[in-house]
Amino acid sequence: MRRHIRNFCIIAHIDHGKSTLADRLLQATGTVSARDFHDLMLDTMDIERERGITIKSTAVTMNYKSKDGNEYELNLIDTPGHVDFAYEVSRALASCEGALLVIDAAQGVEAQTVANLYKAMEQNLTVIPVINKIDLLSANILETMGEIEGELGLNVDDSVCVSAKTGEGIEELLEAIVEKVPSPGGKEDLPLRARIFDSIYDPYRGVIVYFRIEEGSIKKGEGILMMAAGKEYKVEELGHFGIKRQPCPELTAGEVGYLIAGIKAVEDVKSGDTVISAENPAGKPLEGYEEVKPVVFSSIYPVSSEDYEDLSAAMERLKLNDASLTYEKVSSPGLGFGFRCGFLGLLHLEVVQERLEREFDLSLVLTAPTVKYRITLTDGSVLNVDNPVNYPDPVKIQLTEEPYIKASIIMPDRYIGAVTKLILDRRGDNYKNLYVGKKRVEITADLPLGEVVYDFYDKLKSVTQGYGSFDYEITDYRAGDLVKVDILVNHEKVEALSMLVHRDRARPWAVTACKNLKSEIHRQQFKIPIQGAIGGQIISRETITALRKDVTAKCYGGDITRKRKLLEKQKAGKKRMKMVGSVAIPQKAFLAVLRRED
Amino acid sequence: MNGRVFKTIYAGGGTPTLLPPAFWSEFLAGVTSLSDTSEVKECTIEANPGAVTERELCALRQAGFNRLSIGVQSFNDTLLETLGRIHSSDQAIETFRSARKARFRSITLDLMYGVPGQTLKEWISDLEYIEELTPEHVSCYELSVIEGTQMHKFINTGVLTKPDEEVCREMYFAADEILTRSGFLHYEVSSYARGNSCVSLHNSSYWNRTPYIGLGPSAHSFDGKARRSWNLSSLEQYLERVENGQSPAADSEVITMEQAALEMIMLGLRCSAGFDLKKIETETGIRINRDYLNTMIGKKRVQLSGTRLVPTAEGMLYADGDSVNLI
Ligand SMILES: Nc1nc2c(ncn2[C@@H]2O[C@H](COP(=O)(O)OP(=O)(O)OP(=O)(O)O)[C@@H](O)[C@H]2O)c(=O)[nH]1
Ligand SMILES: [Mg+2]
Repeated sequence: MRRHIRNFCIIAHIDHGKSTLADRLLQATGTVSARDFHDLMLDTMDIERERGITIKSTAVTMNYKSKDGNEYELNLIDTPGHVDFAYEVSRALASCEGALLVIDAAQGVEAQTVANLYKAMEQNLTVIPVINKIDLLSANILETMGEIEGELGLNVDDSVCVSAKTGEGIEELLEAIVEKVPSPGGKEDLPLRARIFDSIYDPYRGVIVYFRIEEGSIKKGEGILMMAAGKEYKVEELGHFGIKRQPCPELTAGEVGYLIAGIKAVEDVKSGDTVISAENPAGKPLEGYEEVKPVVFSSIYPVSSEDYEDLSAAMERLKLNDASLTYEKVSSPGLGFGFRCGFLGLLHLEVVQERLEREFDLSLVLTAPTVKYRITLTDGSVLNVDNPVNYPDPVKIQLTEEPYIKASIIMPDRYIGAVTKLILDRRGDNYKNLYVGKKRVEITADLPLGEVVYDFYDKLKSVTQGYGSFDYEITDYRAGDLVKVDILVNHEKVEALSMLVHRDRARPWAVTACKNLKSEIHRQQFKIPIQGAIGGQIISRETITALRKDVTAKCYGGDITRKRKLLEKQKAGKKRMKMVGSVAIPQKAFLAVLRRED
Repeated sequence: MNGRVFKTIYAGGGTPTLLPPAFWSEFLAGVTSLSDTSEVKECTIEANPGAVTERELCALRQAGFNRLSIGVQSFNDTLLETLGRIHSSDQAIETFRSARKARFRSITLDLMYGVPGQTLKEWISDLEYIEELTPEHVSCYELSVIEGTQMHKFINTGVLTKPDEEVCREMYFAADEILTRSGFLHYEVSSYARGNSCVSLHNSSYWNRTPYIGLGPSAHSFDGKARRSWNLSSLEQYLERVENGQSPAADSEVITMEQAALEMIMLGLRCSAGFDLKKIETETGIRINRDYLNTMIGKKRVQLSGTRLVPTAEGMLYADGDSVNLI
């Protein structure tokens, strides 16, 4: 008997309630028992729980008996809402025929609502608008419906009103999914072609590959081939994603699942690659994913140089589970061996650092994040510089260009003033505003990416009291008057702290950077000057005074234990500091240079 | 306590003189009946100026105490007020004289420097006054401001200003210089003794890993090897346990060799006796960082005599940080 399958993902602006909605769907379909249930079932990573946001897309298979009498297999993918994880969303979309576009009825349509809808439409997905949080007093269902039609151009008749909190409307939504999302239209009789959308590394079982079958089928015990790597494996186990993995003997076209095939070579598995049958190989691979375009670059070094090999292994394994991470080996005289990495944003960078440290028990130093500049030399050659270390001698530079974005900011009109000021502060250009609702405005502007990556989003949130939303795309490169500012700690240039900065901003930037560093670097037994410099010229300076004593006056009885514990803590803290010359610099200091004053 | 041999007894950490001398008499008799006190050379009790009469002091002497620790803090009434003390400097001098009359031959005075508002000059005059009083022992403590206290709040909000680190250093060296000149031995960061015979045996035992037993809430005990334990901090719970014949210990720890080494070095660097490098290394199996040791010698913080490392007055000031770096 043919199975009825529906593949859909949940997309939305951040915090509009995707993961909470997924919880309700899991419960309504009996996928999780009351005993095993806890809030945000699909946010399984520690960082997700701590930060209260989704970082990874998570797939889960549910069984649902519809009012039409049929039994359906529903493959749901919950996606993250934050811009930095947009790559997770686009890969999820490629595995689905439908998308639930969740809109918080109290917030209305926001920047990523629009951005994610466009992505879903590009992939020809059936979109069901889901108006969420209708239990809230501040929910404005009518206005939201107006925006769905006006701003999004979708048919309100297709929309479903729910409360992911109370469970209201969930049955109706399930019926709408069954009814509206097209079935994958199985091409089971063709030779196998399955697209890998994610994978994880399990120390006992090797790489666990997550895929969607486009054509054909996979059976346990069959031989498969990873097309890009050209490596053959035998399927040991395959199955569906339940709350836990649910093994089954066979998966067919249209289904989403995992397979285990004793794959120890991490590099054989790539997101976007096609899995084909070894016995009956299909000729051509499926279309892969669009290539990731990292926007922020930073180098990662182990605090202790001996940990380089461990870091190297960790990067490979993390990359399996984070297709948006790009990296290559680098070395620096001061910091040893490490990796130059590309990230999709600063939150992405923080998450990568945290995952490396937690999941692989490493202590790391990250250098000041930067964007990619295009530099034309006097001899006409063009360099792409994403690392200040490679910034050429200024006399050889004919032209420096920096990446620009088109920013779109949607917010209630009462914040126009504050947001306009923020945009101008960040060298914004080509500013426009446009009413998109009764009291809602969309501001668009061109901004240098370098002004946005670090803390623009946080600042926007704070000046709009959380009501402003932001999306952007990189548009072009424009000439910019940039200089390289170096930071010298105890007269030694610390490469990891160098930055390319707009000339007008160089001095204030250096002043703030020195101040921030002063507050992060602990006093040591000698005086430490911290200087900002352009070329040989010092433009800012702070001094960390020498520690002139550190002993405590009394040490009797119980003081000994207390004191010893304190010293042990100090010693442990030292292990998390990078020695630059004779100065121990705490990890936190490397990012602290970027903190701006308001 | 049963059957142990004690060499020192110390009643302090609070205000022991709030209890009548008769209590202490009974207490010491109790200790003597349970354990061997025939070798006790030093038996100290703490007293605050103005809080004990000459009669009481006589009674305490009678009870068996032979050393008195007076919490003078300062001979400057303004500073005493800043410190929240209820006594005056006259009362401190009065208590000292009474103690002498009560035939305390061994008296130690606690002085405080680095007090908000205190100048170097004022501190020096306190030290000079010590020369006049001629106690057997002086402890000069730099005020440490503990988080959560009123003082901490005042300093944080700028109501009070603590003399800066540089001035505190000068005060420390002023004590070292003046007291050494008048015949004191600077034998620990904060401790000065009028000759070897006046060195506090009790305090020294904390620093050279002699076993000790602490009685009362929050008191710590050490078995002289690796086990440290501490009592419950709540008086009610403490009493309940003791009355039911149970141990009042809240918890204990057995320290590793590395921890023992850290303790020995941290304590050794505070004391003019220093520590024996080879002994620590063979006892604990920990190797001391020679490179760092050499920089310490270069900075004249320690001197090496044989295998013994002896801190200078300057070196004692860095005992904490240096002990971390030496391991
Ligand atoms: N009152 C109410 N709160 C809701 C509802 N749905 C979600 N929330 C709350 O909204 C917040 C965000 O919910 P999440 O489910 O984590 O949102 P998300 O869209 O998955 O967020 P990201 O994955 O980070 O993009 C949480 O505090 C939820 O409890 C709802 O229907 N009503
Ligand atoms: Mg979520």
